[in-house]
Amino acid sequence: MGKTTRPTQYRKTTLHEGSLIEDANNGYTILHTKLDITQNIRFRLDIMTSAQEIIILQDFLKNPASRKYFDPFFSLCYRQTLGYLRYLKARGYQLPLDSISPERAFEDLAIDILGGFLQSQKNKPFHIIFDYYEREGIADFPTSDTEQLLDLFPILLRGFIKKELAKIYKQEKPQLNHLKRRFKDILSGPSYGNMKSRDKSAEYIYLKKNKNTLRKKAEPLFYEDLIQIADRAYLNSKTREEWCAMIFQILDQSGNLQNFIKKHEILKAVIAVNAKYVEIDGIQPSKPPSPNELSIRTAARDAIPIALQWSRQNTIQLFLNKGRISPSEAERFLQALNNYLTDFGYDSVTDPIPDYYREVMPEKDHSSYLKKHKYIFETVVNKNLEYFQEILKKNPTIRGFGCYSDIGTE
Amino acid sequence: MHPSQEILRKFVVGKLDESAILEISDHLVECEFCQEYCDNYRSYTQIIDESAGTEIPARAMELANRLYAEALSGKIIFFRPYNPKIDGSLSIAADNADQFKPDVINLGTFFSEDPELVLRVMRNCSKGIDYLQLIGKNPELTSNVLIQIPEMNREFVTDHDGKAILTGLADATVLELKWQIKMPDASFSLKPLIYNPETVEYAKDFILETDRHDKIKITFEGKTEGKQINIKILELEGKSNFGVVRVAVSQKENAHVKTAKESEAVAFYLDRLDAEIKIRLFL
Repeated sequence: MGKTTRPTQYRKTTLHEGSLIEDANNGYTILHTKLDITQNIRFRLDIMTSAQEIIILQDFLKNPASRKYFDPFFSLCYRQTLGYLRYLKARGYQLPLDSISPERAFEDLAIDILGGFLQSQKNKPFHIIFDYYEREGIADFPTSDTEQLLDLFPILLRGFIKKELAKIYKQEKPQLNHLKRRFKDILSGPSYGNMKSRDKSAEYIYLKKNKNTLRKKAEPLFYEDLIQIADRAYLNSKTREEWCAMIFQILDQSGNLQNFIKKHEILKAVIAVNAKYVEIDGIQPSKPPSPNELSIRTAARDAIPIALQWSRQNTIQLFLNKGRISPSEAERFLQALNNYLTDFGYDSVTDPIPDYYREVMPEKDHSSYLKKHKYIFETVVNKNLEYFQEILKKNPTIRGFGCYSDIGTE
Repeated sequence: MHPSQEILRKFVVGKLDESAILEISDHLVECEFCQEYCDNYRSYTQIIDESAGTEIPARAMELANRLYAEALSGKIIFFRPYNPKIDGSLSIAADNADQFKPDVINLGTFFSEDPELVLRVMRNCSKGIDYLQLIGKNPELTSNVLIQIPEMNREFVTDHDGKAILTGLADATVLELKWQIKMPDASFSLKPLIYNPETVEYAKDFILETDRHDKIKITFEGKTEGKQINIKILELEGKSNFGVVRVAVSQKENAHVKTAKESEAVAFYLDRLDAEIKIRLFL
């Protein structure tokens, strides 16, 4: 087996436990992980048939109506789907595999998914695949870059599988909680301080060294800007600790902006950027928001405090009066509501409602959600969402945009 | 700065040159993000490789057949005459070679390369019938399809085995005709387990719909001389103004085709009470 060696100085690393061995004879350092990689490469090359895959894919794209080329392509899709489902399972995803035989269940799920992936429209065979390549600017398959064809294909297939799974079984990524916890741990470390907004509905994080120089009257940091900062900071850091510190450093240097960040928003931003770069199926950089999207987001941001105030005075007050929740629970509910509306207002995509509960409530209360708080919390969230949407519908600046286009006439 | 994901993927699968490998290795020692990406990608490729040898189960191949047929939906497949050079030396009944006359003879053979299909025009001498035999790997392309001869304005629907009875064609013209298949624009099927004609209530109706929003209303009626299925097309691809449509209903060895107009139902007698009913619509 070929060893990968390099002349280097001995240095400590956290790469893997015991990953460095000093070779006393030649002063070379051998990285065990590299050896593992070499093994993997060899294993992969034995079986990997990327050249064949390119041919299969290109033949199919050139002649989609040919059965001769469709069959190998179908097999390629089937095996990749099966493999990706197994990968997701290994990563801790709870897949809807409710058959007695796990292998059969994987096969059934792969078949279900491919039924959608390879569907055809009238006069548009396999439109999901061809529409995708067209969007990527590839329409002339005989002359297109084969490597690019092959690189794009798994992205499309994995994206489709994920979308289908989300439809079948809405769940949070299992790694997400773990990742959130890691970032929360970093942000609760000695370098950071936290404070609550005056109405206690939002928690903010700041650099402790700036405790006495917080720019409370400066412009608030919008999520769109935060995500750009998080992206920039990511590119210039190599650990998550460095990354968080870099975000605040960039913010600190932007004198016109507040130098503290909503905890929920910084977590959301770092998780999004982390997924983009670290997950193999991370979402690629999205386009900047359109003017319409920006208008909706701005209007949503303005509507959040109004909706929260309404909840405080109505739904939450009602449950407080009935003794169903305590004042401290009411404060936490408002905080959760704020987080929920922040997510909803940004792109109408939210996590499952119980996640917002778990995020703000002490861990000891998590298990009693179903029994004690589910009804109350979901009522508060849903009523508030209705009210929030009403505010947006009445906002003249965004009328006619996106999901607010069905606004009735006044 | 981090290496691009493309570079990291190439690193994992060993597609980088040595100097690049060393550079990436150096980076990985310090960068937990790229390390994590490589770990994820390595685990993914390993699992994909392990799946590469997986056999495709029969039910997945059934899906492949259906998807392929759907992709051809509404398409026309043209046939060309096949003229093999036969030396004429084939003789089966050696003792009475000059008296031997096969019961079934081939009047003509046609083929399509893509998809690979063979169409034979046959004559069964003892039964005195001519018939078509469509042969192909995918039953979706041979069973219950519409075979057309445009210049004669004739159409035949194949049965479950790809056969269709021919009438009114002279031997001589068979090879000169232009044969083609029209793939259905919408397909439905009713399996016997779902529908039991013996127990169905009189004039019970229900609606079938495809993913592409083709919608038909089915009514079963009891008749003393047999069972009847009435089919009314409600929508084709979500549109209710679709003009004239040919409706083919087939069960095993029987197939019938009729023309239906918007808002009109067409009736078919069911030859068998225990076989799957296939309904195909042709625009």
